Amino acid sequence: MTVVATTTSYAGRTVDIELMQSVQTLESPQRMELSFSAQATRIVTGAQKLIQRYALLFLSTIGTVRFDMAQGTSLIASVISGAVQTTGGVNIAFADANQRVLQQLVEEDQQEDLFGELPDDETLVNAVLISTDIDYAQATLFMRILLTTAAGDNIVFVLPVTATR
Amino acid sequence: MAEAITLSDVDQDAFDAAETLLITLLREENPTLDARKGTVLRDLLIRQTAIVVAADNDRYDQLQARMSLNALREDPTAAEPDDVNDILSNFLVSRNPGELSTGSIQIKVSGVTGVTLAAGTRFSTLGGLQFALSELVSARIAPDLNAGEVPLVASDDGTYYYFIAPAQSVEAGADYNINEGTVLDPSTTIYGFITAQAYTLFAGGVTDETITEAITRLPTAISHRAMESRRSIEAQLRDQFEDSDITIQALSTQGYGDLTQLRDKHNPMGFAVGSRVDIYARTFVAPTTVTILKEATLVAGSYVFTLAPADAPGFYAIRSISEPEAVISPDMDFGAVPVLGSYAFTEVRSAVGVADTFHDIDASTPAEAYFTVYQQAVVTLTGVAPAGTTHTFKVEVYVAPGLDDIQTFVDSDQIRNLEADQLVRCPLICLVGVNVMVYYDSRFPVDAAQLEQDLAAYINTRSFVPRLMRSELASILHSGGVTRIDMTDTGFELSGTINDAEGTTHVLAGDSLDITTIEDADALIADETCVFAAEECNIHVEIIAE
Repeated sequence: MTVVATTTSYAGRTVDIELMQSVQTLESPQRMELSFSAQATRIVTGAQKLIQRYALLFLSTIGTVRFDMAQGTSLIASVISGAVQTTGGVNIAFADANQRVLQQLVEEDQQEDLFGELPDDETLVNAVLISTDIDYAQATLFMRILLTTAAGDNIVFVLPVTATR
Repeated sequence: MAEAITLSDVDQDAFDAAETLLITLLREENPTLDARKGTVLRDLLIRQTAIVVAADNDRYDQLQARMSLNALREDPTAAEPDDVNDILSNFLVSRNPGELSTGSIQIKVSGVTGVTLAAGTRFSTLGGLQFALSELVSARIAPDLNAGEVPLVASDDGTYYYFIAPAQSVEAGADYNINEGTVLDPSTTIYGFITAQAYTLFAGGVTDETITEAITRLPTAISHRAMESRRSIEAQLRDQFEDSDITIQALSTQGYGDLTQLRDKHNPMGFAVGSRVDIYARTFVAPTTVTILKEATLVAGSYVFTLAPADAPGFYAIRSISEPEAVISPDMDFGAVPVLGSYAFTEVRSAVGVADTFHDIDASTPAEAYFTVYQQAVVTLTGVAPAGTTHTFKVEVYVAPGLDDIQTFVDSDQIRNLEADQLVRCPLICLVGVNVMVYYDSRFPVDAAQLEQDLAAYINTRSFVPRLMRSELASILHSGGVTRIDMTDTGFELSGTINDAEGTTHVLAGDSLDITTIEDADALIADETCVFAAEECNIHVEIIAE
């Protein structure tokens, strides 16, 4: 299993604003801070951008985005409501959410006329839940996820889901 | 009703269009920006901006629609009346607002106990049209007139008492011009109440001017403004009275060399000279009447009274003379003047008060004062049995409201043309009666009352035209849903009655009511001086399913 290093070559790539400004390491349990004001805005591309898109769609709650009620998944709602109580429940919730995210990414990535061509190493072909950890003190579920790109790259990152409201 | 657009008013289509536009523009400017779903750019920036842009686009569309009279004509609900007036103000005009219909109500009660009704007390027709008393009314057997009380009058047979209360429609509109005798129900309990009805013809109700109608006035509105040409006189008068209670529906100006200009030949040779102008002002849509009580004096066995200029300035004709208590049923009428049910009478008109003015009116030619604010009429009732040396009568008179105000304005030092003598007249009114039998497809019912309203509305907007034809009315009926019209003489009766300035009554009938067939300059009859008008009670449409 390979962890892809941070993309350094921005030539010919499209960029996005880096959302998870405080995440320096992809594969260790840590809290994410959305702190645009804390430091200068940075841009992101390549693997980091793919992870970011995946995470943003994965953590968006379906039905909450105006004018795109189909965007997101029901994972956060399931976790917060207590519907996910076992490891098996996490697997089921992940499978459902992952399917929705993959579908949304594929639909969007096909619109090359509007968005341009997407490099293979930013094109997601599959995502798998490798393992989960629960930090009861923080009421946080950590999901270790493996993304596979069209270029054959494997990316592992940890996605925290806090169950407190 | 157009309201301010907020972000919550943005719909999906508008958002999608704005979002796509934003993404396209952003990528054209900077192709390296990734705006796919799930990116921070898309979710936090583009999406929010797109909502604002969509709202702005909607506002822009709304603004653009409000800036175009043609667009507003297509969709009048897209703007407030003030928005329309904002555009029209560029041409120095504003849309004529609707007018309330005014008249009076006869209220019958069973007892002699006085009745007091507050201003605003509502009465409604069976059809739901609402009217409100214009002022507080206290009716007493022995009224204190100085305190504003009105008499509570005993009926002839002593079975009930009645009083008259002024009223006006709650809303503006021509629909509120109800007929004399229309039954009205009070919205509140009135002690001893028996019944109520329209004591007079309710008149003056005008529907809001449409945008199309306002557009037709623009050429006049932007013309040169001085009281010296037809167009400029009309512009000046419309400008002056557009925000007043006086609605100038149509104007016709007769000047030097025009057929019915009689006053420009006051010289020994009898040839026409300039500077005499007669302004015929149609200040009504449906025929408008005023009702007054006149005390007549018995002279040589007949009752006589004088209708002074102040009673009904520039009146056209007397509609009826009756007992104060009487309400003449309009259903017995078919456009006759006076209406059926009126006492018979003769009238002699003459000029009065001219000496105090600069107007050139030859008193020896009564027609010159006819229909102006300088006329008076001595009315002699015939066939009324004497019952005392004096007797009070209810007199209904057709008038053009506001004629005296217009004459005063025309005569004002600041406005009047120093080289001209301009006299304002009530148009000669050809009162139209229609009796028609129509057929309709039983699968698609038509409303007879609506057809009658449509016909009346059409006739009342035909001003200063030479003729009114059955074919014109037939097209109105067809557009109202009828499939076939009985065009025989008995199936489609069209008649018109018009009084001229020599006291003669002309009756027109047939396929066409053609003013030119009775044209008479000395009697002021010409298509430039006459208008067609109809009371709904004189329009009868019989509908038959087939």
